[in-house]
Amino acid sequence: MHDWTEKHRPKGFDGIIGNSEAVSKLKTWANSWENGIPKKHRAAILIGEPGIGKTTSAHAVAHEYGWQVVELNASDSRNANAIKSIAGLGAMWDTFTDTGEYSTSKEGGRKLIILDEADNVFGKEDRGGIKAMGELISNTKQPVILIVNDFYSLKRRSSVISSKALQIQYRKPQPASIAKLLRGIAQKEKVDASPDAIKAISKRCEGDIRGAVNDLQSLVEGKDKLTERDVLALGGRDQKSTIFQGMAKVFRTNNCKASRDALMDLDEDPNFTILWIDENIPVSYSLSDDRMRAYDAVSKADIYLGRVRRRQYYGLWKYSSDMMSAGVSLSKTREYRGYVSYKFPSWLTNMSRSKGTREVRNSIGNKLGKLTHISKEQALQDQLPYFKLLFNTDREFCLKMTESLSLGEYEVGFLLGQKPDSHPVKNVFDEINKKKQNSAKARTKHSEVDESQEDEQEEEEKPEIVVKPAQKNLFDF
Amino acid sequence: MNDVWVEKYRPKTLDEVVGQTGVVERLKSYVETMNMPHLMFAGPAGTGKTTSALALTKEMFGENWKLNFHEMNASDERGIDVVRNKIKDFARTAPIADTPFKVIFLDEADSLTSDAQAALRRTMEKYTNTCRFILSCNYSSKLIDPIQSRCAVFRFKSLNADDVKKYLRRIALSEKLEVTEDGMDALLYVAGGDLRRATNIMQVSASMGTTIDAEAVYKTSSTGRPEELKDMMITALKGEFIEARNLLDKLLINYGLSGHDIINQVHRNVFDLDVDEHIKIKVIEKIGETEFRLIEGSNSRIQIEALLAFMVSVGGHARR
Repeated sequence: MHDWTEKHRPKGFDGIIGNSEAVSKLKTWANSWENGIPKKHRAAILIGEPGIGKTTSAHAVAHEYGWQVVELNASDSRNANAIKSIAGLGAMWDTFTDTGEYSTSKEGGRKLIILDEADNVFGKEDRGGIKAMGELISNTKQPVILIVNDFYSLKRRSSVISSKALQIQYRKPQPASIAKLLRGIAQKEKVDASPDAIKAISKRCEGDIRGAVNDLQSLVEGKDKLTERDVLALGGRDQKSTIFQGMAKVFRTNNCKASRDALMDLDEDPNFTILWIDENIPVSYSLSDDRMRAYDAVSKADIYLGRVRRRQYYGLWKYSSDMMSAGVSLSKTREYRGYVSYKFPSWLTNMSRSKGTREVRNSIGNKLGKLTHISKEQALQDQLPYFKLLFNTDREFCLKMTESLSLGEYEVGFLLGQKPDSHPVKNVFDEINKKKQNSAKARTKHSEVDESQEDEQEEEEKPEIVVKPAQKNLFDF
Repeated sequence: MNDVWVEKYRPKTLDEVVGQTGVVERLKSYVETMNMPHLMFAGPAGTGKTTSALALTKEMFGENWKLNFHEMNASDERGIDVVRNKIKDFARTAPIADTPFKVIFLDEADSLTSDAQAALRRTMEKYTNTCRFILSCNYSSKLIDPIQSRCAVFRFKSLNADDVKKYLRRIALSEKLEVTEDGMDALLYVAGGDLRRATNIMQVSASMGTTIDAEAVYKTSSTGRPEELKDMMITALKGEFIEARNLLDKLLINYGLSGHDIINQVHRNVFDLDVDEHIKIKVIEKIGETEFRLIEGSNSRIQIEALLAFMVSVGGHARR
């Protein structure tokens, strides 16, 4: 059996579901490549959740315009060299056809470079990958499409990518349009699928077209009929709605058992559930005394979690669950009615967003701690604020420390409050290299010592490109 | 000026160590006899514990000191495996070149877990012939008794004003700085006997001009502390919980402060708040309870949130 997601992937723009605005933006961009290299955006970046047509759109461009495709995706090795070699292809104005014949761009058409899952490029092994990507986007002589789920992480790490590439946002299609697509596929595959079954699948997939098609295929495997009952057998557990329902029960009931059961039904790790409850106390309870009691209950629940972790005795989990459910339920002194839109724990989003930054900060803390004979923690608290200030105000200090602590571009970027691939960061490394070359020169030209020293001084006196106008305060980043 | 001054001006010899005459005299007698027991240095931050350990080893071992000296920070590596593997590996091998034993300097030894301390005790005993320990901590009582009894304990006094002045003047002379009288007083005040802090503040003040006066010092010392901390407390007392929680997240995530740091600073700041004294004492009691729960609990953010919710409630501005 063929994979239906591939088999039924639309070739051109016509079969793409929804996202008409995105597609027309993409067409305009592709048109701009028809008469030479476009002035503004050489690359387009397709942003959106998985399975909503980004890759299909990219290939549709190639199909509609008759361009050949060079594709690199997450399963390929993702390092600077891989991207550079692709960039090398992209830099060629003239292309070779698949059969190896030489053809000019006019005859042979263009090569469309597709970097799928481009936000996965930043693994630890991929140092330099992001830089190579930035260079590709700026200098390519062939059209480039980047495909990402998480644009935020890309933007944070590279100013080039966000400024030089045309951003095209893809949105989740409506269940109705997915249902239409599924009906079409069922027809072609000669499957008798009930309208309710189709509806259930298209709703369940939450906008993920690929997921919906996969579900359909797995459900009809070996049969020719599909009913709603079959779909429900998939489990159909919609995690989000369950946790939302769980929250509603905990915050509205006054019954210990009902509250506790609501959490039991979630079947989640209490370390995770506690974050949901913690996040939603203030939106659920408006009286400050109620909030205070609820937070006290959550705080006690957290104590049990701490004890479980320390003693590895999971028997205490139940008390933690009791406190965070029943304890919170019974903290209220009045009834709260009306619709509440429960929120995803902001702590988790903030922590995952800041992961890169925190890693960089810790690595600076380690180096600084080694230098000044203190722990990483203490270096971060006591030494880093001053270090950072000196790093920004005293250029010589900045250069010397970058060299002696062998700071990388991420670390220098963090200290200067700049992106790692930005000019102020590059300047630091350029200056260090220049100094090294100069001193090497001075060493080789022994007879002309005086002259080279003068040279060096001249270099130093050149006005620097300003690092960043004086920070208002130390933590202005 | 392109060095970190706390390193540049760290005393190189025992004689240069300021304000610990009694300690230094005893340490010098070890140098003379080329022998020493396990040592424990106890005392507040920035009073010369690390400096003395480094200077002692240098003077005792001469040029080969680095080969026979191993420095570790227990707060970076606090588990039992560290004692079992890293420390043991270093301790059991013979000293290099012509030295009678090796030295392990274990900083912040009081942050070792009790299991790790128990393991350390055996290691200390077993390898005494090849290796001597210098344990450094803020409070000797945080180390288990069997370890304390195996060490000669040295108490480092917090430095008095004259000692700090003496040290800072040395730096000023070498860096050609002018420190005004009120500037010096300000340095003494913000440093509170911590030479590391005094030196850092002096270096940053110096990067702004060659004259260091009180204004420069206070400006510098406040940059070391995030404004958000006080804001968070005031915001909570005003009754704005969500705002206060956002500030808390900023402190934890953007500044990378630990829950304990935040609690300690919250405690320090309570006294200066512009609220009723009865509210202060209630908050202080709750801060104590919060710190206790931090130790017992698993997520410091949740515990501090509970404190903020309490402050909202007692602040008197909130909806009841």
